[in-house]
Formats: sequence, structure tokens, C-alpha cells
Amino acid sequence: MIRNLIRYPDPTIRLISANVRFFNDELTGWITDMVDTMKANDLDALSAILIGIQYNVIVIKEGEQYVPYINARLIKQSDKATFTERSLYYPGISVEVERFTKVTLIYEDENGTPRHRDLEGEEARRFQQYLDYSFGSTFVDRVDREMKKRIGDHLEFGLITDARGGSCPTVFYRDYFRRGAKGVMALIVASFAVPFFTSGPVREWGYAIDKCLLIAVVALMIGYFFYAQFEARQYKQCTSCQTGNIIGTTALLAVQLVIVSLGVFFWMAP
Amino acid sequence: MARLVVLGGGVAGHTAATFAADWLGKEHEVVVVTPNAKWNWIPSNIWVGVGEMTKEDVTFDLAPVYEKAGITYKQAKAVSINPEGSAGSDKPFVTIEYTGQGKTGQSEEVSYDYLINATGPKLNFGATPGLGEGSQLGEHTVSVCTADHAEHAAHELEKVMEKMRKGQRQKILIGTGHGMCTCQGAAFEYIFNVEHEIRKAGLRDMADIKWIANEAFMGDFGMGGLHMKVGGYVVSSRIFTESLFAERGVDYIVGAHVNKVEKGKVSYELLDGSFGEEEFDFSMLIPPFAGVGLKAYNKAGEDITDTVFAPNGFMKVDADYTPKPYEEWKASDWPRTYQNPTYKNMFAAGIAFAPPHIISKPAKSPNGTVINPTPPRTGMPSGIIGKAVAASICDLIKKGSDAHLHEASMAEMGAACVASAGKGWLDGQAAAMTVYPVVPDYEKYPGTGRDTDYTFGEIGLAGHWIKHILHYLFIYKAKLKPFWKVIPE
Repeated sequence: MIRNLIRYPDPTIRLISANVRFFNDELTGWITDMVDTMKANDLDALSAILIGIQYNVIVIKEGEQYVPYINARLIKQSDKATFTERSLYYPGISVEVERFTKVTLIYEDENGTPRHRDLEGEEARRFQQYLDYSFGSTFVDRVDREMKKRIGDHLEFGLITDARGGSCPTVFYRDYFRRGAKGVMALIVASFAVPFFTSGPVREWGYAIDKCLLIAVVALMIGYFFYAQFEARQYKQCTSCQTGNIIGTTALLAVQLVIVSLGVFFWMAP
Repeated sequence: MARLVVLGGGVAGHTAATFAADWLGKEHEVVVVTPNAKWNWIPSNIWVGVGEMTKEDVTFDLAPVYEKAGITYKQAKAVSINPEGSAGSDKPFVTIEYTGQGKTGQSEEVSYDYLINATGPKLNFGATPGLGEGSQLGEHTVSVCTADHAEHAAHELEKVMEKMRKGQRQKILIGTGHGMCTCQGAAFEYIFNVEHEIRKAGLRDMADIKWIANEAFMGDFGMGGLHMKVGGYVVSSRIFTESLFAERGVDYIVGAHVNKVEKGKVSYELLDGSFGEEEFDFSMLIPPFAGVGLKAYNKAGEDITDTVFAPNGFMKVDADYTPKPYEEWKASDWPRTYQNPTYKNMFAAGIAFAPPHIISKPAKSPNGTVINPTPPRTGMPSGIIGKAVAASICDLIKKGSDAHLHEASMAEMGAACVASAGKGWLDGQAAAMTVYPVVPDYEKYPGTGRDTDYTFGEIGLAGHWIKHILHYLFIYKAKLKPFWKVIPE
């Protein structure tokens, strides 16, 4: 069956493919679909994820044969060269990418028999590109930061950050406390302009408001500190790194708070 | 009054013993048997290994801490377990041999009501010819597995850096010293800390730095890979590590089983069945782990080591040890309570328990050599397991033998690592690797066995800051300073 190729901005591209564990009819079906899709689109290589199948299967057209590579890994690589790459996922974009020109791969065939193969030149490059798709990546992850930014600016919706397309935030709710505290501090800093324009009651009002805002910052920080710990404990996952992060973040906020408070009490005070 | 004996004072043993002593109070006795006089925060050994910290910074004396906690401390190594007691008594006991406290070499039988085996691993240098003898580090390479080893490593590193200063180009090889190693993460951090030190000294162009590991792909870390979140983007740890290596000019060899170490040279076999050699002037290779070699005897004095321990020397617990092919692995094969199936008053925690199988995809070279990482059991799971086991035993003591046991399955735990790639205090890389659960649950999450939605909130601080905060936090906790109990594992 010919399947649709996934294209930008489909976030599925960011999924990391699973190892194939069962060499059964389902796998044969996927390979058939991949070959059909390749024939229909005149492709010489395809990763399963590009037609929405989240398994580490790559099919390469070698002569008239379509050869499946399952659970492939590169174990030897040498000699680098820069290639101009195009991607099925980003139609119309080409990027200069550095790739190895000699690689050895290990993989399994469609029966699950372990095999290995040496590839060179364009064949080596192509395999690296399609293996990257299986690991949730495109050439965007193989270029330097500046180039990555340029590609991002060029794309209509920017780069795809994660498998959910960034639509569902991966940040914790605790960050709202942190951002709130920072926002309020920014407001206080903005109010430091008041003495330039006026003195008298307006300034006194500003001073009074700033003091209230400082209390709000302290409240938000306390809220952050305790809520963040609570949130960290909801996941049995490196609570310690999260705690370290929370303590460090709170300390940084506290330093900022001290600086802002100095401004309030020495600059804003009438 | 019941007596709980804890073998080992590492992360799992120390956590279990300190919590048990706190929960059981003075009515019951907690005994810790550990051959070391000092507690070591092992993750920071990496810094000792490059001379950034001293041995004193990462260790402290156990005796005063145990005295404060009301724990009986025996500086000794466990030799054997008699879970059925002896001919004369039904009381189970362990035989220990002192390594300090003025009784070095003396043997003693310590009876117990409950036993926690948290001995950690034997650093099995002897598995690779030339890497060492038994648990002793050999002369050709260095290690960062203990604080002493790390200090030695820093010393040797300084020597090669001195040669670089004199204009001699040096080859540095860091990674794993056998096809069945775990702890790639430690070697990974070490290689980047070494690279950082050399760069800082202005000698980077005098060093060829290379990575050699038993992983089938870069960034496997014994867990079949993780998610990285860098600069807002989620990428596979393979892409992340390969990019990082390329950026720092570090070459790599993966899928390698180091089969021989000689002076200045390692020989290895790769997953495609080919063989190779690599020269070095300085090399840190992590040894494989094995059980510490405890023996077990029944009432009649017959050897029952095979009943209590798996062939690799780790203790059997409530896991499914039936040999199964990769496609039949299940999350439920992994232990939940860490109770020994034969002797219900024995538990194992941390590295000392025998895992049912590995976590990464198994791999063999065409010559039949197994080359795949064994399951990592780092500080966090060890701590969580140690605490759960202590809680179970406290309940068994206080509520009776039918008390419900506490559970801590690695198939329900996530792992997160902060990558500290040795980059300065202010511009350090803010990167976190996550995976949930550590052990894939193929039934719950078809395909990868992992929850793909589960990514760690980004770390707002540079990796270095987090690492330093953790260092002080954990040493503080282990010293049982005020509020130690609220610090998570």
C-alpha cells in the first residue's frame, strides 16, 4: 500500500523509532508499504518513520532491489566530507552537511539475521541521513547553531521542537511562578524611571506600589520553591536534579530580588 | 529486639541503614558491615580524576555519622551468608572479616533477623587480560571507580599533560574496558572533563582524544538511548553525543569489546566481527562489574551459593530469571520488592541485586562475543530501592511477617542525567537527558517501551551548577545533617 510521506511541519518526525523485536508478517507489511511508497514517489531510500511507522526500518534501493535494513547502527566511521543534502521532510530546502564517507553498519535482515556491511561515499552519506530519521532527527540537528537558526527563520512555522510539535508545553507549572516573579521584578525596574519625570505624590505612590510588588515577588518565590518541590515529587524521576535546579533557580531569583530591592529602597524612596 | 544487618555502605546500603535506624528507633539494632572507613560520593570522583577536587572533598568518615545515627558499624567485608543458621542454632548469620577498627583480619559471625545485601559490585578488572587482576586495577590504565583510583588518574593525567607541554603529542583513550560494562555515563563525563582540562591548559592541539565503548550506538548508555533536551529541542542522545564529540574533536569507536590491554595499547573486537588495535599514552577504561563473591551455606554447611546468587555473583531477588529472547522481555520480569525468593528475610539493593536481563538491545559479534552494555543502576534508583527495602523491613519488624512490602520497580522509575561536559561556570551547557521508564514497558508503551511524551522540564542552569549543588546536597544528606530526610534520593 502506498502511504503518505510525512512533511514539515508534522511533528511525528521527532519520534525516536523503536527497535524491531518481532520479525513477523507485520514487519513484512511495513516493508511492502515502504517499497510501494518508494516506487510511487521514485525514491531510492526511505525510513519507516517518514511514512509514520515508528520502527527502525530503512529500505534502500540497490540496483533494482529494495533491501531492508532493520535496527541498523553505525559502528565504524571515518573520513568526513561536506555534502549538499535535501530532505523529503523539508521540500525545497538544501543544506550543507558534514558526513562520514566510510562507515560500517550492523543491522538485521527481514528474517532477523544479524549482518554487517561497509559503505562508502554517497551510499554512506545516504545511510547516515536515513538512520538519523530513525533517531528522530533531520539534517537540522547536524548543522551548527547559526545554520540551524537560519533554517528555523526560513521555515514558516520555525523548527519542530519535539514530537508533539511544541503544542503541549513540556515546561512545568512551576515556571509560571518563576516567570511571574521575573515579570514583577521587571515592572519594579521599569518604575525606576518615575523619579526622572516627577517627584511628590506620584513618586511616593510609586514607592508604595514597589514595596507591595517586592512582597509579591517574595510570595511568588516562596510559592515557586514549595510548589516546585511538590511538582518534582510527582515524578519518580531525578527528583534530586530537579531539587538542585530549584535551589539554584531560587538562589538566582533571590540575588535578583536583592538588587531590585536596593533600587527600591535607595533610588525610589522619596 | 530485632537486628538488621546491612552489607555495604554505598548509596543503597547507606540510605537503607540510615532510614531503617531512624524508623526503627532504639528498640531494634541496625548493623552496617562495610570494608571502607569512608563514604564516597562516587559521581564526584570524575572531578577528582582531573584534579579539580581532592579525595577529601568527595569522602567523609563513616564512624561518627553511624555513631550519631545509633548504627553499629563494623569495618569489615562480608565473606559468607548462612541463611539457615548453623548446626547448633537456627539463627541466620553472616561471616565477616575485619578490615579496620584495630581488628584487621579477624573473623566474626554476625547473626541477623533481616539482611540487606548492598555490597555494590566487584570491579572486575580481571575479566580483561591486562586491565587488572581480580578486583585490582592493572598498571597500564587508570580508573575513576573509587576515590583512590581517581586520585591516581589525576596524577597520571598530569604526567601526560607535562609531556604535552614539552611538545610530545599524546594519545588519550577513554571508555569501557570490556564488552559487558555498564557506567558509560561516568566515562562519558570523564572524557569531556579531561578534554576540558587539556583545553584549559592550552594543550588541546597536542592531544588526540578517543572514545571506545561497548555501546552499539553513541549515547546508548546501557538504556537503549535517552531523550536529550538542548536549547528547547528534544533529540535522541545519539544525535546529541555525536554532535558533541564532533564539536570537541573527539573520535569514537563503538560496539567494541576490549579483549586485551598491554602497555600503551588495547586490542578490541567489534560487533561486525572485525578486530582492531588502538594505541594510547593515557587510558581510563571502566571495568565490568561482578558480584563481590559472597558465598552461601545451608544448615548442614553445604554450599548453596547457586541458590542465593545468580551466576554473575549478584543476589537473586523477586525477578523472573527465566532466560528469554529479546522479543519476550517484559517490564514485569524486573523485581519490585528485592526480596530473595528462597530466604524471605534477605533483600538486595543497588547494584547487588541480579537484574533479569539487560536493558539495551542485546548484541553479539559474528564470532559469538557478547558486546552490549549491562543495565546501569546509578545513584538514584539505588537510593530509592534502598529506602523501599528499608521500609519493607521496618514494616516486617513492626507489623509482623505478613506486612505489605514496599515496591520500587525500575520499570516505573525514570532516569535523568545532567550532562556536565566540563565547560566553565557561566557558559556551561544546559542539557538534561531523560528516559521514562528506565526499563522499557512494552505492554504499556508499545514500540519503544518508553513514554515519548515524558520529557524533563528544561534545566535552567548550566550543568555544572546542578552538578555542584548535587555534590553538596548528597554529601550533606549522607552526613545526616539536619533535615537530611527531606532531600530526595
